[in-house]
Amino acid sequence: MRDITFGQYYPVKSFIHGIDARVKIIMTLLFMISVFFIVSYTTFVFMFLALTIIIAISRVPYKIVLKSIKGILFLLIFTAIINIFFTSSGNVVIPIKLGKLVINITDQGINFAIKMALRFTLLVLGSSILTLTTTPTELTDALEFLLKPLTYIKIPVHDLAIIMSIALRFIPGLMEETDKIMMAQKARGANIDSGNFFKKIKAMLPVLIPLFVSAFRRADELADALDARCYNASSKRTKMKVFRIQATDIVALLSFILLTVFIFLDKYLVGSLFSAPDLGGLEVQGLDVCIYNLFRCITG
Amino acid sequence: MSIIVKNLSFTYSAKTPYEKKALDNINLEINDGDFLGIIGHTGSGKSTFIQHINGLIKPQEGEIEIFDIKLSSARRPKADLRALRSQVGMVFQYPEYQLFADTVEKDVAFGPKNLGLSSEEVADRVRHAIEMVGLDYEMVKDRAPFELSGGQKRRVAIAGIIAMQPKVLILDEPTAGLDPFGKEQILNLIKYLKTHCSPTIVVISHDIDEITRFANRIVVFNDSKIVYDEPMQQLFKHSRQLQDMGLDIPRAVKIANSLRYRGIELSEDIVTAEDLLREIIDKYNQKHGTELDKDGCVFDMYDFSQKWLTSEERAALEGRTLEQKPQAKKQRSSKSKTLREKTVKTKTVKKVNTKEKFEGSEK
Amino acid sequence: MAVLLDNVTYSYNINDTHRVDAVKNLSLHIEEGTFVALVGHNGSGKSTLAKLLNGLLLPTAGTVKIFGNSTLDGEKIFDIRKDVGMVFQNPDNQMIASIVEDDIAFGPENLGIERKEIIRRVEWALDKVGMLEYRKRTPFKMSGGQKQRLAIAGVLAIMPKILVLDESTAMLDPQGRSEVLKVAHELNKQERITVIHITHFMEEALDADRLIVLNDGKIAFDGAPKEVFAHYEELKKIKLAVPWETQLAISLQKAGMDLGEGIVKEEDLVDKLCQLL
Repeated sequence: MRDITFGQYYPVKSFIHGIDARVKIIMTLLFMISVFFIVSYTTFVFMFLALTIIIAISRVPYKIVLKSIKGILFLLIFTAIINIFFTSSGNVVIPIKLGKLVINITDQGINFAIKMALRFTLLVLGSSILTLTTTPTELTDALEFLLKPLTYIKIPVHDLAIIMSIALRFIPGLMEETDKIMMAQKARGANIDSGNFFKKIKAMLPVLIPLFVSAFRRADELADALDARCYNASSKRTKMKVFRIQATDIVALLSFILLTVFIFLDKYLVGSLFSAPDLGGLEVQGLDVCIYNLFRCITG
Repeated sequence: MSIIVKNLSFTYSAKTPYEKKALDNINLEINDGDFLGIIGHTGSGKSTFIQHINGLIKPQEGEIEIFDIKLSSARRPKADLRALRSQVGMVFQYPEYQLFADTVEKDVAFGPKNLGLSSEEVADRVRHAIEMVGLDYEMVKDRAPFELSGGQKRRVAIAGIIAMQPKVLILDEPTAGLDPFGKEQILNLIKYLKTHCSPTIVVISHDIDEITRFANRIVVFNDSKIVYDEPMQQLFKHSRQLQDMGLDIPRAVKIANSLRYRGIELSEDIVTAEDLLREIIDKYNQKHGTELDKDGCVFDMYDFSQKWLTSEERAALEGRTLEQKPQAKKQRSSKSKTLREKTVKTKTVKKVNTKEKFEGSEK
Repeated sequence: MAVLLDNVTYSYNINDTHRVDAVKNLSLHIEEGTFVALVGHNGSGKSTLAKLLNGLLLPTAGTVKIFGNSTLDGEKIFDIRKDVGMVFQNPDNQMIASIVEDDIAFGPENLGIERKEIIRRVEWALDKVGMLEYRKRTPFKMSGGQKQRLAIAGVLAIMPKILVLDESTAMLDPQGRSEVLKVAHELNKQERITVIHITHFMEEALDADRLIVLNDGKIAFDGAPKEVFAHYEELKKIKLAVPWETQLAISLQKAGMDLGEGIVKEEDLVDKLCQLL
C-alpha cells in the first residue's frame, strides 16, 4: 500500500472543484492566452492577486500550489538570463566587457526578463490550479467533449479518449505494482538505489522485466474484458453523461472573460489614452501610465 | 528470541488528505522455532507489519530487533540490511510475478548472488533450493520461468528465497490464486521447509483453515492493532469476537460450536478436522459402547500418491505434433487489437523428459 | 437451448513442436435458467471452455451455439456477446473507467443505447449487485469482492441472458467469494439468468442445479452436486476434492459410523451428528 496521488488532484470540495471541467479548461486556455498580452506591472499585480483569491477559494494549500513552480525554477532562471544578456535594444544600464566580447545589459532586457518570468509563473500557477482541482477522469471527459469537432476530420477522438481513460485507470495500479516488485527484489538483496547510471539501469532490470510482463498480461486481460462488453459493437455510440452547464459555471466563465477583456483593454487602449512619459528609456505601458500620471497629479 | 518488536507505529502519507494509520503501537516477540500465523482483514496492517521485519519499511516510531540487528527511526547507526535479508526471507503475495531471468537457475541465483557468496556456493544453494521446493533441478534449470505452470512458477519464486537460507521465512498469502490441489502442495511444502530450511516461519493468510493446518501460534490484526496473540488451541475461545470482526473461524470449530449449541459436550481444543474426527468418534464410542478406531480415521481430501503429468508431458507422450491441426484463431474486433499487446506464450523449445516426475513430488 | 456445444475441440501450440487439445470433442447442452457449476483443476480446460462461449476463442473443430447463433458466424458475434456476459478472474483488470457509474455505462454506451435507458440500467445493475451507493466512487480502494461485483454489474448492464463467471472467485478471500456467489445465485433466481460458474472450489458448486466436472478437456462427471460427490474416490484421481463437510462425513463413515448418504452441507452434518451422539 502507498499513497497514490491520483495525478495531481487534491481531493477537497470547493467552488473551484465544482466548476465543470470543460469550463475550467476553456478558462485556463483563455487565461494562458491573455497572460501573453499583459503589458503593465499593475496588471501583473492584479493577476497575482486574482490567482491568490482563486487558490484561497479552491481550498488547496498555497504550499502545494507553489510546489509546481519549484519544478520549473530552472527554466525560469534560464530564460531570464537569456533575456537579460541577449537583448541589445534599449539603453545600456550595465556594460560588460570580457576581452573582445561586449555584452550590454539594457533596461529593456531587464524589463523583458522580469515580465517573461512573471508570465511563466502565472502560466504554471494557472494550469496547476486546473489539475489540482479537476480529476484526470473529468479532464479526459472534458477533452473528449471539446475535441469532438475533430471527428469530422477523421481523428478517432473517442478511441483516443478510451485509451487515455484506461491509461489513467491503470497508472495507480502499475505504480503500486512497481512498488511491490521493487520491495520483493530488495528483499532478495537487490541493490537498486546506488551505483552509477549504467549500473542503475542494470539493477533496474529485475524490476522492469516483471513490470512489463505484468503490463502485457493486464493488457491482454483488459482486451478480453473490452470485447466481452461489446466494445465497437455499434458505430452509433452513446454517452451517459451530458454537458449540463450551470449558473455557477456561467458566472465563472463570464468573470474570466471580463478579466481577459480587461487585459486586452490594458494593452491596446489604456496606454494610448495618455502620453507615455519619458523615464529615461524605461518602458512604461498601459495602466502603469495611468498610475504614473495619477501619482504625478497627487504629488503635483 | 529471534525478533522483538516494540511500540511500532506507522502512518502512510502523514499530513496529507490521504493519511492512513497502518500500525498502532505494535508489540510482538517472535521466538525461535515459532510457526506463526497472522490473520486479519485487508488493510488491517499485517502486510505493513511484515514489511517492517524485512527492513523494507523504515520504522516511524518504535523499534525492531532482529538477531541483534536494530531497526529504528534513527538515522544512525545505519542498519545492515544485507545481513538482515540473509536472516529473514520474505515471500510476497503472487511471488511468481517477480521472476525476471531467462532461466530458472539464474532467477533462483539472484538472491544468493546479491549476498556476495562465491559462485560455487551460489550454484550449490541454487540446486539445493530447487530440489527442496520439489522440482527436478536438471529438468527445470535451463527452462524459462514463463514456460512453467502457475504452481511451478510459484515454487521457483519460493526457491529464490530459500536459496538465501534465511533463519526466518515470512510468506504473505502463499496459496493465493492457486487451485485447491496447488494450495495443498504449497502447504505441504511450507511444513517441509519448517523442518529442513527455516526453523522459524511466519505465514499471513486469509484462510483460517489453512493457518490451522500448521501454526502453533496465531496473531490477529484488526484496525492497525494486534488484538489477539495466542497459542492456536486457545485462540478460538474468542470465536464470537473473531466473527464479530468479520474474520472466519475454522470449519471444525464452527461445527463443534454448532454441536455444543445443540447440547453435545465436546472438548475445548478442537481446531482441525482431525481433532473433530477424534472427538466425534470418542463420543460415539462412549454412547454406543463401540470401539471404533479414532487413530485410524484420516481426513484425506487429496491424493498425493500419484505422479501428475503436465499437459506438455502428456502431449509429448502421445506424440502429438504441429502439422496435425490448423491453428485456432482468436476472434476480436479490429479496434481492440490495437489495444492488445502481443503476449508471447512460449518461445523456446525445450525437450521434455517424460519419464521423470515434474508436477512436484510431495516430501 | 441457451448453450449448445457440438463435438467441440480447441487446440493450440504449447511450443514449436507440440500442441495440446485444451478441449477435446466436447458436447454439452445447457438449458435456459439453470445454474451450472463447472469445476476442474488448473489445466483441465475450463477457462478455454469459458472463452469459447462468447467467441473470444473459436473452436478448432465442432460448433458452439448460443441461442442458436454460432460463434463462427462473424455477423452474429455481437449478438452472442450481448447474450453472454463474461466476468474474468482478476478484479483489477476489468474496469475501464475510474468512476464506478462511468464504467458500468461502458457496455450500454457501446451498444448505442439511449441515454435515459443507460442511466436506468446502470442503477438497476448496481442495485442488483448491492453497490448502488458506490456509484460515484473510484474502485481503487475497494475489496476484491466489491470489484468483482462491479465487474458483474458491468456486464449486467448489457442485459445478458447468460452470465459466465470465468474463475471470478479464484483471486478473492473467502468473504469476497461468498459475496460474488450470493449475487450470482440471486440473479439466477430473480432474473432467470442462466449462470455458468467456472471455479476450482468444489464447495462453490453446492447450491448449483448442475455440476459439471472437467478433466483433461473432457467432461468427467455431469449431474446434481450430490450425485457427483458420491464419486469422491474418482474425483481424487483428478486432483479434486469433495467439500470439507462431505469429506468429514466420508471419514466418519469409513471409521464405522453410519451417517447415511448425501451429506454435503454443514446443517446436514450437524443434524446427523446430533442424532448419533
